[in-house]
Amino acid sequence: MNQPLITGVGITDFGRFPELTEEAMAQSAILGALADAGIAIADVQAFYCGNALGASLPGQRSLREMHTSGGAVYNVDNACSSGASALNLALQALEVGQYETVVVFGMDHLSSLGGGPLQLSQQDWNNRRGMIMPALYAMRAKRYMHEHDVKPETLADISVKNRKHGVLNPIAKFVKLATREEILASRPVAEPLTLLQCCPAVVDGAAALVLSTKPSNGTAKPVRVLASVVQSGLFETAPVDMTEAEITARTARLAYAKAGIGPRDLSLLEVHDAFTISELLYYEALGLCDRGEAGQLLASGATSLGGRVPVNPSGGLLAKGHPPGATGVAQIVEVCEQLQGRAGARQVRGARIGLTQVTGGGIWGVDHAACSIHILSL
Amino acid sequence: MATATRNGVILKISKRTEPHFRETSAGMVLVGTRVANQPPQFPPTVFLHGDEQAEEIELGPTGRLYSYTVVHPGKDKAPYGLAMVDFEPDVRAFGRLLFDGPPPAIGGTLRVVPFALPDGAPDYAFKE
Repeated sequence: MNQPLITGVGITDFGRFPELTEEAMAQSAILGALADAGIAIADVQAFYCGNALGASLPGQRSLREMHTSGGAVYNVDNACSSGASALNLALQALEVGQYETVVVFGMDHLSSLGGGPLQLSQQDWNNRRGMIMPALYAMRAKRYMHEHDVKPETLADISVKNRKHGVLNPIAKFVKLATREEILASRPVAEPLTLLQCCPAVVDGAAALVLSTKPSNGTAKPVRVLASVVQSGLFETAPVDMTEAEITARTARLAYAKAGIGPRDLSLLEVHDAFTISELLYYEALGLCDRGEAGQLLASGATSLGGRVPVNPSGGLLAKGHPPGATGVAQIVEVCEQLQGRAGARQVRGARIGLTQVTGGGIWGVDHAACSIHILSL
Repeated sequence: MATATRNGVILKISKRTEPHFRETSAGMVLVGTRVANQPPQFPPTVFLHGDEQAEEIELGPTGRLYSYTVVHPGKDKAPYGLAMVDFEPDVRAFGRLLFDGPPPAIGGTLRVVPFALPDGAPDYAFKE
């Protein structure tokens, strides 16, 4: 089996750019990744595009003015897990020798959609009865707080931490620092979640990777993918424990086994902190701490920059924003740059192994439709 | 729905149209389904394949509040409650949570009550 390496990464600013399009942003990220890898677009045999909210054929629309040689373009929609799922498929093709060099990219341009919470299908049973994505997480938060005697301040401290990280990230154009008090006093969205505990609803962005089984011409040391695992949600009709992030725990077990490591081997993580409660639940699902101990782990400072295992050094979704198609790829870009020592003011010292985790969507009876976990190392 | 046979397998899709709630002498109940060896579920199964049969299961009239939230939709729209409620036999249902004063406590008993969807269609909600 061939060993694919990430030989180049590219990312746009994440912010509100109504004058741009998702195609233009994807092109910018791809050009950045090609330059970083030291190759031309003619060297790329196939493209894998993650996109959740754009029109049909987003990959081809992005690539047409880049004058590719007509190789395959695969469009992948797995909600917020689209970009990471695209990476998983690309790795499979490289490993079996179908291609030698490919580009994975993801993007979404939420400015085009008007704003507010992501629109959910009104054919869905829950959505017809008023469900919105923050409400699902709010109910998980209510139950978690009930079971573990967690106070709203603990939730707010996730947002404080990730905003502190985000202001060190030059691509995070939308982020502002906020105190615990400001976060708790912001507009209620779905109790106990307030506005500043939800990732911003309108942020545009794109990210891209070059992967190759050939020797790298890149500017930085190439990055190995120790594990790439995608799982789908189970259909749950019984009273399940909503404080357990089941799909993430299941995906993590598979990823750790494949990489031959455990959570204590990680130097950093990028996780899907769409809401403050999410990051707490994922600490536990990913094995960073035992059930019910996420608040203590956060309070210890272990997951802050300078701590034992920083989580979301990029600022995460809460600070950087969440263009869904881009998020999974952007997490990979962040971990690559951390491992390569290129993360500037937010550099995690001695970073050796990083993990990315991104979930995707929700449909009735399935709390998350998808989860993708990647483990990376030099 | 049209029925065809292909390679010995009956290809038939049947659509259930029975309502997902009903009034009983004990009060309003939700109506879930159980198909063959699958676990019971609510909302009920709508489409059945081949010779599948759906057994109706009444849920309620009371259940236990697992969790809830109050959604604040913003300008000019009133907040509303949502709840996850657990019923015997081992089924969780989602729906609107109605309350006048402070919201009910997690673990408390809720009743199934009549409500209407935004388009006016008769539906259910939960209330202490």
